[in-house]
Amino acid sequence: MAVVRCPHCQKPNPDFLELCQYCDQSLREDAGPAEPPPAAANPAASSWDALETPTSGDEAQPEGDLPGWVSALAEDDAAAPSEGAPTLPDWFSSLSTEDAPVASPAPKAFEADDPDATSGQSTPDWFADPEAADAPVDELQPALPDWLSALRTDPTTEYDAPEPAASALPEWLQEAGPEAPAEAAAEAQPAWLQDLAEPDPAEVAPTEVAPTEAATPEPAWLASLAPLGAAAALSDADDDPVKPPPQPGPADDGEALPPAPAWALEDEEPPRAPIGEDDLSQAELPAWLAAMRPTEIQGAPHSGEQPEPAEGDSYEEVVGVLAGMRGVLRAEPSVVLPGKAANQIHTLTATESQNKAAQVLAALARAEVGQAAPATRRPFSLPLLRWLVAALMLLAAMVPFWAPELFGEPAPLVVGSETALAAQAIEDLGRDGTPRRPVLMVIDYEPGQAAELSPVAEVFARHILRLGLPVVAVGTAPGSAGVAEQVLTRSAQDMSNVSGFDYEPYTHLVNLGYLPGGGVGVVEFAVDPRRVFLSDFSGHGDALWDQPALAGVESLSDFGALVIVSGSPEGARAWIEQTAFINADHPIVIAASAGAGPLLRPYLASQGGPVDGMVTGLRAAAQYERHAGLVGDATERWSATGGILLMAAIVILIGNVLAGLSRLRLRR
Amino acid sequence: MKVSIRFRNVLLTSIAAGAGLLTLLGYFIPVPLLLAVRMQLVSWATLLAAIAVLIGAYSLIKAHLRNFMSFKTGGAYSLVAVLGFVAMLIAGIVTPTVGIPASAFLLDHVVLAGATALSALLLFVLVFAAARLLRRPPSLIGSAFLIALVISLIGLAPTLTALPDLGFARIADWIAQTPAVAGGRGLLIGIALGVIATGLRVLLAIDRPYGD
Repeated sequence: MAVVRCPHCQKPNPDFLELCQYCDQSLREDAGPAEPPPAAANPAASSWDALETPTSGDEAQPEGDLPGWVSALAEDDAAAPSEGAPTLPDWFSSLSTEDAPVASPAPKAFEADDPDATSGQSTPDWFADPEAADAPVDELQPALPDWLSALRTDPTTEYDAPEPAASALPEWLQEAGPEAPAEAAAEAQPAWLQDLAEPDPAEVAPTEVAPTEAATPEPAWLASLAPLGAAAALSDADDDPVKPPPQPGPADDGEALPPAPAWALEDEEPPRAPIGEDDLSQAELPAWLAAMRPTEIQGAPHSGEQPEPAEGDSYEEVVGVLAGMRGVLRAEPSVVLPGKAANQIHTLTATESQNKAAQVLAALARAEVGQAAPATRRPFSLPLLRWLVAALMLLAAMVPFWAPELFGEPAPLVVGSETALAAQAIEDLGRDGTPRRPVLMVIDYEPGQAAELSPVAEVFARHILRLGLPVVAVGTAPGSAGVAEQVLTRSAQDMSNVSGFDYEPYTHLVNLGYLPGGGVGVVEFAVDPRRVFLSDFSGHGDALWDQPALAGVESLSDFGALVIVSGSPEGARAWIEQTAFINADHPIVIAASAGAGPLLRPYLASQGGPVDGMVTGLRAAAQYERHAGLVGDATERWSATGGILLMAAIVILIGNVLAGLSRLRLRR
Repeated sequence: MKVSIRFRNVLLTSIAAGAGLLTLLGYFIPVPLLLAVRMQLVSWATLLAAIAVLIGAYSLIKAHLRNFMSFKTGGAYSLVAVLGFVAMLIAGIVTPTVGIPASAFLLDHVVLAGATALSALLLFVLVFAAARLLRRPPSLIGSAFLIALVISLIGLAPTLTALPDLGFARIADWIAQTPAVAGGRGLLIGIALGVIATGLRVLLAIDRPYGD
């Protein structure tokens, strides 16, 4: 498909378009430079033109018709280029000159590709083609195609430039370049190359080139190249039955150019001699081929025409291995880049039902926006409801002290069964015939729960002390050892105040301290308490287990009873479950907080568990005090606690009723 | 390298599973040797737990000291925490040696008072939150919780002499004895099953919390 370059934006367009698909300008206003030239019928010539576009011409120098690097092939002494002669590329100088002491080093890329190329260790087939070099011109003539024969007769294609040695050229150069005399070729060949180029027709691998049809007009430089070199190659190709392997490239229809080596298509063009501006007519590139040129070549001005502005694509790759390179193909072409739609929708067609639905949706959205509107923030807002609740709770805590007649006594009938069983279990320790053994009291709560549980612990301690039994305390929470010390001290003091008996440490009271390890520590203590506690909470370690309160204790089963005062279900469960293997015959009593009680109640004996009794919360502690006749802190605090409970129930009830009414009003 | 890692894992797994099996066998086979081994292992575990408490205290104080030294927000509170720790440490040392009940004094007047005040604050917050329970759309569980809460509070509270007995105490007792015990028993069974499963996974080296 032919391509027409827009005269305005210089973008390529298909030839069937009237308007540029990029700028919508007319493509026919000035289609001359963009029209595909007649030479486009021969893409081979156009391709070479694209690759070897001369920058300037000099009519007096026929070399100007040739690409500079091709002309340089004919120079005998590439090491010392004369003034005005085309300068050989470095890589080619190394190939064509044997004794070139000052030849420029070959490009690194070339060295990397074939390090032995300059040493002659491995010469490609095209390089050692003696048949093409020695072939007489006359013998090659009959094989010339018509267009080449016609071109040869064209005086404009004649030039006097020394012809490069055909044997030193690759096949594709032999086709494109002028034929050189055999003697000149032999002289131009280095010695090592002559050795390699022994005439051996059997080993000659001529290039198979399909005959191309004549195309006029032909580029001037290509016409000068075509007559002899290509003819010799074509003649060999027709006569030699040994066919070389097919050359890569588009040679199917006979119009394509034989593929050039990749290194010959390097971006960097070989230097060429300055050529006069008017010695040659500028070859015209097919538009499609011009569009394929690299950016650097596109920007090179053609002789005889205005410099063509570089195509506007200055895209530079920023990622990947091609980062920093310009002129690369984009990952997404410009046609898929986001842009503004050309067609604008001016009217929206909707049915009546759709309009109604849209109106309903808009109304809903407006209602939502109205509800979500932020309320105006007052500069100072007092949480009155919170203050009101706090004031009511404080009032409820103080009213029982001001008006104790408002509240009745704690109801012993409600939870009295558990509490009575616990009190009975402790009371049985003092019966006649029961061994007088110390009672182990486990303090398993932190100081934060002391207000609820310390009264229970103290009433147990006082009850046990009243029976004349030693109380041994151990704490299983980090802060419980100090609480246990306080409980024992206050209990002993209270009992001393009541009975006038002086309770002595290590005889009636022992605080062993903190037992770490959780359930594991409980197991160790149950098996061998003497191993766990080498000293008590106060640091007294001298003969601790020989003290009167601990004299007969070897394991947990040696305690007369186990009283667990726990603020969490886990602590009480550890003592109940981890000491079950002892099979102690002593009673187990639990004093738990109101929160932990429900989870510990399944361990009661009435529920099938090993626990003989349980006191849950401050209310049960007050009941225990009354049942044991040891009125203390639990009874005193119960009135205030009861008032708070009652007020809490009232506040919760009223608050939720009001909240429910408010929701009903909003729903209406 | 891989060989050493595998050997390490095998070693750790063997130690953990062996210790667990020996301890477990001590419960079922009353052999003196097994009992002695079991108790030694338990003693080590208790000792490690005690050391862990010390390490935890050290880490806590170190963190508060770092917070205070870096002048971060709340650094003053960290200073109070550090000073309290030092005060209680000194009091714990002074009390048995000098005979001054400094530890009991700090416990009564600082620790217990502060902890009790926080507990009272927790009560207030819970009551306030429960009072606003129906501000959200009510659900079946929420409504049941609210009803049980109100009945239990009224039932546990002392009866007002001016009001007749409406039977809330008996309803609260039924709630505490029947539904609460059923729920607690279900929780305990679930905990027991979880402990068994976890123990077996550790013994069978399915779970290796001690290794990589």
